[in-house]
Amino acid sequence: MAPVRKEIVKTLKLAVRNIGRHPVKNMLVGLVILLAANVFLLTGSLAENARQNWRAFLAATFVGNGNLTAYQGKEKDFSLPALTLPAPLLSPPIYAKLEELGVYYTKRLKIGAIVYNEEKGELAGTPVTLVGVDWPVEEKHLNNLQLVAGEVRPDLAAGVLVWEELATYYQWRVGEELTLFVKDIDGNTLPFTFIITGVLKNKTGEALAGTGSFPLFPFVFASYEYLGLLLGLEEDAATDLAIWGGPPAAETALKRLARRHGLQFFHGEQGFEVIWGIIEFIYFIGVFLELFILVVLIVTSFNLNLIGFAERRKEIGTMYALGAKPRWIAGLLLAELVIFAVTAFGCSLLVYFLLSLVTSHGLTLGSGLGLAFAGAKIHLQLVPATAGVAFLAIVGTMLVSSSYPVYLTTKINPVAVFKEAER
Amino acid sequence: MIQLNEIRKTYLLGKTEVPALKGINLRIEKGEFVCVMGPSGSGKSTLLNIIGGLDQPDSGEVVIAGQTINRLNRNQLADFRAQQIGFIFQSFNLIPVLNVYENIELPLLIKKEPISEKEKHARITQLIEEVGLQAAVNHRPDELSGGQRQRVAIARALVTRPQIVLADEPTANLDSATAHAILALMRRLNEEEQVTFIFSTHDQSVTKYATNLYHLKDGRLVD
Repeated sequence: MAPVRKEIVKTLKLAVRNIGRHPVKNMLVGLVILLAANVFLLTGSLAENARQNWRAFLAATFVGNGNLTAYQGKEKDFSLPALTLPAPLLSPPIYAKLEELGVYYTKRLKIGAIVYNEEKGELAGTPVTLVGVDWPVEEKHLNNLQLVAGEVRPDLAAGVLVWEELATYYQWRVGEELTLFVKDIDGNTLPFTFIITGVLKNKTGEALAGTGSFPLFPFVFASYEYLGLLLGLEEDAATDLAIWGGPPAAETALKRLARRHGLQFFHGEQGFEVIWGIIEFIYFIGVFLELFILVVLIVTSFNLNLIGFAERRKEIGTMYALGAKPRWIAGLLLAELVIFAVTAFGCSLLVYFLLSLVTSHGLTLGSGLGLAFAGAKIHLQLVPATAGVAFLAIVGTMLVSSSYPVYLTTKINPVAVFKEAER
Repeated sequence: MIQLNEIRKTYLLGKTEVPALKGINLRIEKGEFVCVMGPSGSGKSTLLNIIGGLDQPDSGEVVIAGQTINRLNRNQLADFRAQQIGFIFQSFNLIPVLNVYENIELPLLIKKEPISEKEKHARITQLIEEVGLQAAVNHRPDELSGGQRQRVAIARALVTRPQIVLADEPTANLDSATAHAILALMRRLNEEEQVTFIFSTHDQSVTKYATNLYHLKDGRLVD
């Protein structure tokens, strides 16, 4: 081993020995690190659970594993549909690029529509999202959907499937005509009449429907080809592409493609503002808790290191007398802190791992929180990015909070320290 | 080799000025075994600290091996101490988490001595033998007697092969027999290694080991 490397090893060994001499301080700081690390990991996991549960739920319900849309900004939101078609629409050159990437997709037309109330002879207030899909092709992917009434009628061009929530709200029945006002490609608002052939709902997550004053899934599914004709679009035009699969690198390529062509790529949870808001809120609560626990760590570490280093003044003074430079002393003390922080973080990971094993059957946080996690159970998981951020935040906090106590040791006057010790 | 010219040092105790050294002139040659004797508060420790570069005089000049050390900055003084000086303290000042071997090795680690591990080991082992601590190599300071601790401190002071060893009342915390044994050891090492030793004491009985004896009283050298 090279002499310099050996010296570093010996200095680190001395640092490790020094750590072991303050068991009470170590226990207190270690406990705060354990709390801090677990707050990071837990909140990160909760947010990730919310994101993944919603993504999985929506992929099997409607959105697809991903969605490439010509709509911009909030207009991509499925629950607040845009009433005007985007320009330009998706066209064959984009499809060719997706095929080059090996991505499996289906074309859709999506536009907001206003319901015409036949009985009252007026427009109803709440818009719905009219979605043109090639139902026989997409049906096999949407395995979280079930027909609660009627049937799928590909043979009937004007046939539509309506969401149960909407059917209840508007009192629609299978076999009835449904008139929707929609803006066509030229911007003319025209009434189109469809025939309701079936009523749909989710197999799971039923409790999520009707949780707010607006329906979460205000969908009316029409035939892609027929809707295209009604809107006056070219044969292959689409507003959205549902992405069902592709090679692992496809998502990055799709995002790049979207940026280059002024499109938007998003996953299910990003296509519903209310859901995205819930996930962001969980992230926000997590960050708030993380900052709070880091402040606790700063205060604990600062005070205990101030006391701990003060207790070692004579020893540090002796090292100065033996020829140590302030930066060597500072390096030794910082090494102690980093080694301790890394070890404590490692132990925290172990505790978190045990916690995740104990709760491996999944946690339910009560029915009130069903909406936050798409009605699914929570599984504690280690999110690598969160673990990385937690590690850097904890080690960084330990270094920052100890910088002043360490700085004070570089100002120790050995003569004064020895005189103090004599007294 | 060590030249002190008109060294003055005053401490402030609150608002009161306490003169510790009042114009010390002293010359010590290489290889001497010097005793600075005086009562408590006479300025012995201050004198040794100034020679060792731990403290700065208010005025005067400290020249060691041609180098005026009171003009050096903090880092240069640290280098000077690491290269030229070995310290032995009254209360030993060993590092409690290190064993005998590691305590002796510490100055080499601090100095970053560019010698091989083999040479380092040979040097430490030889010193352990010379101070008679072969049986206690792996013991920590709290497992050693006062005399053994001071032996470790002596070996630690010599491991970097310094020009000067400064011992501030090295026998003050030891019983009489151990004190004489420690002084005899220091004297032997002084002769063998040709290292200049300067030790302070207020114990008349140990002055017999010195080749030169200086009396310090109220901050002045007296005959």
